[in-house]
Amino acid sequence: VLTPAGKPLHALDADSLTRMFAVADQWLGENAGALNAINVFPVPDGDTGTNMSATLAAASVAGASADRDVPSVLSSAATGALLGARGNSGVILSQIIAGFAEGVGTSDVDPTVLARGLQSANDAARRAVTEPREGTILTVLSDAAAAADRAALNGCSVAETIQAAATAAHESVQRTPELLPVLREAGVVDSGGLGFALILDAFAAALTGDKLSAAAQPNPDFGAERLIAAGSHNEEDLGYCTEFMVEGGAVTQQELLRSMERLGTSVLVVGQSGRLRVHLHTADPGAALSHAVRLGALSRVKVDNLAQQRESLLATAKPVRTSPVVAVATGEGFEALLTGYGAIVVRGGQSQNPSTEELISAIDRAPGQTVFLLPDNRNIVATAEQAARITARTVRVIPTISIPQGISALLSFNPDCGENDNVLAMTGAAASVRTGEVTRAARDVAINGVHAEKGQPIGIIDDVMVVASDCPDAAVLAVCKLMLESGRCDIATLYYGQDIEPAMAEACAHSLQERHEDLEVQVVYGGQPHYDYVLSLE
Amino acid sequence: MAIRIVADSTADLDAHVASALKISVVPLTIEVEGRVLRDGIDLAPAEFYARLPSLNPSPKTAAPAPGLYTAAFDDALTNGDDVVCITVSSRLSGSFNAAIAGRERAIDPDRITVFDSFSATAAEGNIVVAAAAAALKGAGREQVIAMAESVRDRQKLLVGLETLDFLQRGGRIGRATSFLGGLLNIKPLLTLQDGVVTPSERVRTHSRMLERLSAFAMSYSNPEMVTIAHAALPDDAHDLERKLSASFPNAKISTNWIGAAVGLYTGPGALGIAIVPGETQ
Repeated sequence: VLTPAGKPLHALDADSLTRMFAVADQWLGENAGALNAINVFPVPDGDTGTNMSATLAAASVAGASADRDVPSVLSSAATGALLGARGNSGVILSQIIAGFAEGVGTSDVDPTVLARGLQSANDAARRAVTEPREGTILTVLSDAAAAADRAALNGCSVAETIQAAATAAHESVQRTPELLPVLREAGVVDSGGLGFALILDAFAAALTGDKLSAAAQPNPDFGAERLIAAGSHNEEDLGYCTEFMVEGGAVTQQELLRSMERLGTSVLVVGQSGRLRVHLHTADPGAALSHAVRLGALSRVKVDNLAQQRESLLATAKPVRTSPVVAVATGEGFEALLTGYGAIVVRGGQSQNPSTEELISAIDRAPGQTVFLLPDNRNIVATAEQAARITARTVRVIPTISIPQGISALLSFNPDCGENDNVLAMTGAAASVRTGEVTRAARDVAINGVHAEKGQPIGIIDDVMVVASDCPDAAVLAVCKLMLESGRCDIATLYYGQDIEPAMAEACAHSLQERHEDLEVQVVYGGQPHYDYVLSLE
Repeated sequence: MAIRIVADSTADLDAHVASALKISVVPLTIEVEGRVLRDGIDLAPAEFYARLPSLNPSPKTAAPAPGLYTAAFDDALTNGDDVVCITVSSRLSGSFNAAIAGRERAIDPDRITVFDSFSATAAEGNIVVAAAAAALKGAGREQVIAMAESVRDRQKLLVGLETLDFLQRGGRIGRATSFLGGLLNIKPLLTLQDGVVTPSERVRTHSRMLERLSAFAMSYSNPEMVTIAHAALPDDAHDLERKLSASFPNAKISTNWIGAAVGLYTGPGALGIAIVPGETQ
């Protein structure tokens, strides 16, 4: 191994050390976005790359302005890192740099001292973390330090020792999902560990003069991009995730990018002329490959079916949001509302009661120990109780008699509370909701002194017709007034049916608000058939 | 020789209180539109909350650098004081680890204890204030830590949010993922359990949220300390303080703004109460 000046490098000097930090600073900066994208542990806040990069930049700047001897550069870099460290991963990185500086001390940095420095860095980093977890940067650092030790014993040069550490670090990064379940679930490698491996790559490249685009083993752009492609972004992308390398051609990165963008989406082209890596999503991987093969030699071709990739990712994802609550409802708005709050919905309601079997099938799909069943209609309570008796699972029926009652019960379900506490809370929440309905008379009718002609808007409370009006809005107002007679309320929710235009519902809510200034009136799409409006007061 | 309390800025202490109780505050940092600002020093909360919803990319917090902790520790140690350092929950931030790392390089690590509050904002503030008050009365390191533990283990926290959006965006949603989603304008009420955000209940309106928070506080008969923390709800917070002062004449009651480092995750319109029940309750 030769330094740029042409001398064999047995030990690091201050200038090569400074250059190592500068190259690593630049390389980490370029990869910060990719590291952010795969950051899930300990908190998935997407800042590992940014924080490691800022910390290394602080070390690099401080090291560059120090006296031109190795101990000064190292101790200044360490101080810079300790003062400039940002975030969890930055704190650990600052410990690594400071630990390395302490391990080296005033010795010449030959391969043996280098290995000793990495071991000291490992000790310092582990001391700084109260509960060291494996599958993180700590594991990667330990593996890299052990590899450096072996390389030094085998008589490797400084650069070869760093290269050996870098190779071991990348292998270790690939193992992190086996050690840390949260990484496996997210389908990523540890971002801090990968960041450290990239730093070692950069250190080695600074000494050998190799180009980094080729030196980095798994290109993090690809890992992150795959994750993004398989996750919620780019869901409109269809077809095949296609990756390949174009070697030896004269095509530039920009030219190849432009031609690939005509053939697919989520296009990435990285590297330099003569060695370019390509990633794209395309319906026709053959077209992209045929185009590229005319530009250079193809290698590392990889084609994945995006739909399959997405399915396998979804299959490993936990259904965190589904609660052990089964609710009966009809109307697409109501169904979306209940599903959105975590319930499993069984379609049914007035005059279309679900069967016991349908309820049991939903109960069987529910997660958790105890399932809470919301019939949401007086006529379905008995079926619900029947289903609860028959199924092998533990089921508690909360006797809700309207969908708004079911919604309130669902909202007061707390996954952290016990079965009985939830029954109490959900029953109480349901009981605090009063529900009225506005529909049309099915025929000429007279009940309790209320007369309605066929097709006339009527108001119903507790299954009893209480008012007949000339228009649905007037029926809503009359129903609300009657409901308020049985006690004070502060929230009115007006769920409008499938036959009502949103603007009509807004106008109706507006007149309701005008009459009752102390109510908070909210308009929500229920999408229910037959009933123009369902009004709930609580 | 006395005990110096070092706390991070997420305790959201009033500056006068911190200085009267001789508490050294180490700031977290917040990156806003490319500028790195110090929590509680470079950022006025009111202005921060006004801008937060429109900031893109959303700001990011970072734990203090270990060197800042080392400097705060060395300052106390050279003054002849031992140190008790109280940080925000290690489950929410790297601040605790930064303090542990900072201790390693202080001039005498053995004279420093780093204490994980497993909490944040008003609840962390109660621990810090109680510990600092004990230290000022001449308590030794063990006694100060015992006081911090006692408050940490007894106190209850309930925080109401206008929305879960900010918590989710910042990756701190914890077990409250089960409260996500839905079309109704729900206000979630949350607590911290073992230092992790944990859902408590959900209510339909802002006024219900305030009622619920008030009822939560009133369910304790004779609290020692009550701290109200708010994100841009000064009027609601003061109404609540007046009400609680009338009911709890013997309690130490205070109201603070939730600082930017925590407020980034609560979003504007949050109100929390941290209450320390009496020992005998």
